[in-house]
This record gives sequence, C-alpha cells and structure tokens, in this order.
Amino acid sequence: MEITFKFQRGGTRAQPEYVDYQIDVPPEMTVFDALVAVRETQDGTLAFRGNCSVGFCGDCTLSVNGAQKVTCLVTVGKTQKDGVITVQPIRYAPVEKDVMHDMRKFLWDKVDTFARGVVPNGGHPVTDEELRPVRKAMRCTTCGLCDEGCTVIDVNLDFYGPAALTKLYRFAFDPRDGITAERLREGSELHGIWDCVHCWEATEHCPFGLEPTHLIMDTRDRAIAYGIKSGYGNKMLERHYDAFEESISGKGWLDERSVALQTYGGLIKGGIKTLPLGLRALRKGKATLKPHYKRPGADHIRKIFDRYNRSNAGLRKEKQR
Amino acid sequence: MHDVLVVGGGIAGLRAAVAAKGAGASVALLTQSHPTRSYSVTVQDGINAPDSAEGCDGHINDTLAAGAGLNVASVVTSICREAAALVEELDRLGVPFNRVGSVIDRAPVSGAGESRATYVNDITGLAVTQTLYEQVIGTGVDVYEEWLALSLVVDGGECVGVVALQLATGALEAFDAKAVVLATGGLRRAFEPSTSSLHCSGSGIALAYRAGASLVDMEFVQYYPAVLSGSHLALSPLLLGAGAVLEDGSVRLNGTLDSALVEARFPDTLHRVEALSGVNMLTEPAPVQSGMSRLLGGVDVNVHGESSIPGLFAAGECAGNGFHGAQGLNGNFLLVSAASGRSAGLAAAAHMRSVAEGTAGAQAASGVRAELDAALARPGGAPVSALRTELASLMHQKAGESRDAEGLSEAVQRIRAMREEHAQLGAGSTARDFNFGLVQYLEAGTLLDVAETIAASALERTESRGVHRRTDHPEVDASQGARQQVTRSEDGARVSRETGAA
Ligand code: SF4
Repeated sequence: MEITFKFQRGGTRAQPEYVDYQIDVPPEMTVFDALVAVRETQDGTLAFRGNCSVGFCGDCTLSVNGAQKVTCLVTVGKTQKDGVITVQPIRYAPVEKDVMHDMRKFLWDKVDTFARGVVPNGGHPVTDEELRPVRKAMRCTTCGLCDEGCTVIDVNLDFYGPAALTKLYRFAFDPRDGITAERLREGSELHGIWDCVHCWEATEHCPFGLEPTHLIMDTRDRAIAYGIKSGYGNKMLERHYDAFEESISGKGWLDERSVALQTYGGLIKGGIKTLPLGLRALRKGKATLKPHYKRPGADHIRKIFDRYNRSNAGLRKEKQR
Repeated sequence: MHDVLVVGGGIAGLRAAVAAKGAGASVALLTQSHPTRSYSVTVQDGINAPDSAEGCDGHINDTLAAGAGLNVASVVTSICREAAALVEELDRLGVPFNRVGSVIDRAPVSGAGESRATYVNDITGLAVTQTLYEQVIGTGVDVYEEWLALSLVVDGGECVGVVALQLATGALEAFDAKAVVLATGGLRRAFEPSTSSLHCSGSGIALAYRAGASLVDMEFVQYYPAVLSGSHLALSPLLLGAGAVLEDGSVRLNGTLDSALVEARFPDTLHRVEALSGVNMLTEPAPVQSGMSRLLGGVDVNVHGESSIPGLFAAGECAGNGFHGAQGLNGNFLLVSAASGRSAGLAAAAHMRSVAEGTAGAQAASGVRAELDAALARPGGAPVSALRTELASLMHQKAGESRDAEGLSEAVQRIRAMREEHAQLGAGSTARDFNFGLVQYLEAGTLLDVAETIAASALERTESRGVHRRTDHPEVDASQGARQQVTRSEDGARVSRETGAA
C-alpha cells in the first residue's frame, strides 16, 4: 500500500511545515514500523522516539492524522486517510526537534517527583487483593497520552498531570509503604491531585484502560481519609473546606455567613475581615441577622456524611497507626 | 570521574547501579533511552525462585540438564541459591508479585518443569524495571539518558571509562570511571524473526570485543517458539505454562483456559495481540512463529561479572557467565539479569583502584571523533539499512535454529564482506542533533561484529548441543564438552576451546 507520510518538520504549531515521504508498506504494518522504515531508508535525520515496537516501552507516542496514539499499536491501513498519514507532535508537549518531544519537561521530571521507591514499613504480610491496585497502576507505560488529553495541562504545563499522579497512586496504595501520609501531602501541593478538574479526559485517553482520572479521584479520597484536603498548605483554604463541610453536614445547606466567618479565622478575626462585606450585604437585603432555620432534608444529608465517614473508618484507623 | 559507570538501563544495568550505589560508590548510568523504555519492560516471563531447599535443588538440576554440560556449575548454584532472597528483596522494594493469600505465588512456565516462577501478571519485566528505576532515582545515581556508548577507554590494559555520544546534540564525551559495567543486552536486531527492540544492537559485546576482551558461548542463540507472527511480541511462557496450547503455528486459549483467569492475569497480552494482529485471543487462536529471543553467550565473565580486562564488568544478556550453558530455561532469564547485575555492581564498587585523572579518555574521544566525522561525511541510509536487513535474514537462515558447515562458512564469509561494505558507508548526513542515520550506521557495525563471532563459533562447534543444532553433526560429541571463547584478531573472529573455566 502506497503511503505518503506528511511529517512535521519545523515551523510552529500554528503554522507547521511538512516534508512528504512516500513508502510502500503492507496495510497491517504498524505506523511506528513504517516510520522506522522511512527513517532507515530515506532520511536518517527524521527525529522521533521509539524502541520496543510492541506497546510496552511507551516511547513512540505521536499524533497521526490528528489522533494521538502509541504508534506501534496502530496499523498503517487503519490510520491512513486517502493514502496519507500526517505526523505531528502531541499537543502541549514542548518539542526538541521535528516530532521529538521534550519528555524531561513534559513527563519525566514530574513522574520522578513521585518515583521515590517504596520505603518499607516493616508491616504485616500483604495479600494479593491489597496489591491489585498497585499492579494495575504499574501497567502504566508512561506513554503520556493521558497528559496529552489533559485539559489542565492545556492551560498549565506545571500541573503534574495524570501520568505522574498515576505514579503517586502506585505508592499511595501500596500497603508495604511506610510514608503514605508524606506522599499524599506531596501530591496535595500546588499542581497536584487537587488541581485536577475531573473532566475524565485522561481516562478516555489511556490506551491501556488504566483510568487515570479514577486513580486521581481515589488518591484524593485517600488524602481526605488522612486528613489532607484540597488547599493543603493554605490555612485559609483548609478552613474554608472545613466550614463548607460543617455547614452542609450540620445544617443541610450552605450557610454563607458561618462559612465566611470561619474561612477568615473565626468569629473575631473573621468578623473584622468580613464586616464591610457583611454590612453591604445587609444593606442590600442579601443577608439577614435572623438565625438560619434547619432545612427539612438535613438529617438525610447528615446520614450521607455519616455513611461516607464510616466507609473510610478503616483508612482513618490505618492513618493513626 | 565516577567510581562506577554502568552502561545500559535495563534490569541488569539498573540492578548493577543500585548495588554499586548501595556499596558506597559514586555511580553513573548511561542509557540509550530512558531506562523504563528498555527492552526489559517487554519481558513477560517470570522469575524462577523456588521457596524451599528441595525446590532449589530441583531448579539447579533442571538448569544444568537444559545447559547440556556447558553450564558453569558454581554460577548456577550461587544464582539459584540466592533466587528466593532476590525475589523477596525485589518485593520489598516494591515489585507487586502475585500472591496466593499473602504468599508469593509460584507458577509454571513452559518448558521448565515445576511451578517455580514468581511473576507480576504479564508485566514482570515492566514492574521490575520500574521498581529498580525508582531505586536509581531515590538513591541519587547520576543518569545520563540518550547517550550511546561507542568505545571503551583502556589505559595500561585496564578499563578506565567509556566514550559516548549524546544523541540530542552529537556531543562526544569521555566518561572516566574506576570501573565500567556493561549491561547493554542482546543483539536481536541481527535476526529476523525475533523479539527485538530497536536498540538490541549488541553494542556492549562489540565494545568489549573490540577492546580485546574475550567472548564466550557465542554459538548459543535461543529461539522462542511463540512470537506473534509479523511482530516482535513473545507470548508469555507463563501463558503457555498456564495451559494455553501451542500447535500448528498458533497459540490457542479457548477451550483450554478460563477467560476470567486470562483477563485477570494476561490483560496486557490480550490487548497487544489484538492491537498488533487483530486477533481476540479469548475466541480465536493467535498466529505465531519461532523467533530469536536470547543470546546465551556474551562477554566472558566469572560469577562476579569480571571480564578478561581489569576494571571491565558485564551483566545481563551481554554477559556470558555460564549460567545457562547450551540452553536457557524460561523463567531463568530475568533471574540472571537481576542476579548478575547485582553481583557485577558490587564487584565493580569493590574494585578500588586509584585511577589518576589521565589523558586516556580525552585521547580515546578524539580518536572516536575523527572516525565519526569521517562517517558523517560518507553516504548512508538505504544501503546501511539493506546491510542490516540482509544480515538479519542471513543469520536466521544460516546461523539460526538449524545450522550446517556450508551455511555457516558462507555466513562468516558474507559477514566479513559486509563489514568491508559497511566501512565504505556512513551516516548519510552531517547533522549533529538526533542523527539517526549515524546511529543506524554505528549499530550496523556492532551487529556485524557480534554476528561474525556467532557464526564463527557455531562453525567451530561440530556437534549438536542445547540450542546449537547442526544438521551435519546431529549428535552430542562428548569430546566437545568445553566452552568456546572468541577473541578478535587481524583476520576476524578467532575461536578457541576453553581449558579451564574462569
Ligand atoms: S496512565 Fe495510561 S495514558 Fe497515562 S501514561 Fe500511563 S499508560 Fe499512558
């Protein structure tokens, strides 16, 4: 099958420049093998990565005809449109040359942040069941496709991203590890688990079904069970989330007055800080001095909170160990 | 200057780096790709490690039986005896070995008798590589990614460093070290079909050979019977061990294996077979062929990984420590990579010599620079590619699973001629940054050098033993029960019979 590779070389993302390469390959050949054949026989300066050719090393991620793929796992026949395959770098990743991504910046530095090995806790023998989450996360090939689909990385390259957070998950859920709380705090820093906007794109993008967005959500749950909340390291934000939870679980609705007061440091400190805003709200009739009544469904809502807390009781106990 | 320089980022290299670091040495790790992109991550085999003394004896006996008299018995004993501890250590470091309850499971692998392979579903290689890489990061080994080692620096008969090319820039640098550990893996790209990754170019073996080190057991090239047709994917011996049936050129699961078990334990196999061949293994058989998967010989080293050049060590597939003998057992390959990496790393760290900051490195680098500059100016590309492709089919046909004198001498002659053709070729472009034409040319050079030693050794061994099968000498010849060494000489590879094992 005669294929024209339109290979992006130079130019900018907005105005890419392409060089065409023709090659005759069987349709069942993988895109990666075909690209290697082009490089080996036609132009040794074509820059793209790849090694294993069987989908384990995660090195050959590229954009082909607009779809982002581990290119050794897709065939030429299924990828081509009218005999053409356009090859571009994946979105968001800085580029070193041609379609050679700066993976240090895009991925490795972030993954390495969380890659410190298991610190043995000298604990109990672990069961197969307990290790299943770890085994699932270790299927990750660091292909980067989840980061490629990430809507946060799109606007903030500093976000650790789902691939690195999958590495965090691998440790946060390893029962043999002795520094879970420390890891969860590290992961809760700025650009970490709490910056995920749960758009589920990562889960959609992972070609191996690892569901990285779910892994981030699970890591958040675990962090909460360890008493680490969104806004970790920022006292005001922490107070805000506590007040928010207290208000909903206690009153069944969001009592903005108490949330505002607590967020700013309690009755006195918060009172002084929020006084001008409160007065303005009173004047405009947006707030009242009358006490809030309890919402009819409040008890039901409290039950939901109770049930959640009970389901995490095991984790809480573990945290105290 | 580092105390220990490890070349190669697969399981053997990572394990060597961690061991040397743990022994207090300053360590640099030089790799052609990021370590977790190494060939090792594709290996879906298990790690043989029986958990009892009787099991261990059985493991030793089976390994010796497969090796058909050519194993170095002391190496077999020492590695088999440390296997269970090695697996426990890997587990402690984070490898999530499958368990039954809370006891690490032992499963059967095809062709290896008892159930003694520890494993992580079908990602043992990936999980072990990741875990060791994490140790490398955690312990502060200096990692040099995307550097290709081109030459050993030998001064006064001792190895004192490596000259390497930085792929991103084309810069050439001499890395001084008190000891060098080669862990560059095999040379699958010299064979087709095979389980090759692109970087399996035999580079460490060629570097040692060119520097005068002796190689050993080079005639033993092992094929694996279940490589997915048209691809380089080996279907795990654990899958065959679990009951998948290999017959008439295909591997069949349906009717013999429970789908739920396959989905739980072999998710990555199912996924990749489907992507690469369009076959859903739960319902249809997958077409397979036999492909080259392992070189059993390599740089001649003892149980500590010491080669014939002081200061030069080797581990993993590029090392011929005599563990496998004439045929390797499934489940033993990852074991040897990790175990030999560890001992080579320790031995290299203990190799305390005061190496003065000499000029040997700089001199070697300028020599290599001149050669590279000449190669950059010569034409390359398609003709180099044609040489490599021809080599892969030549080796498969004449020096593969079945061999005879005529074919082997033809192969030796042709490889020598190809080396001359290769010398006239080059990179095909003077680009410095990411010049893959240059890499292709250099790799073709190492492949040709090592391929010649394979064909020459196979020609010399006029009997059939283990995986070395000569149609013109189909029987074992008891008088040929010694290992063969290969050294480089003016007129090519020179093969000799061992007198006493190192
Ligand atoms: S989680 Fe999936 S998509 Fe993300 S890097 Fe790992 S394998 Fe690739």
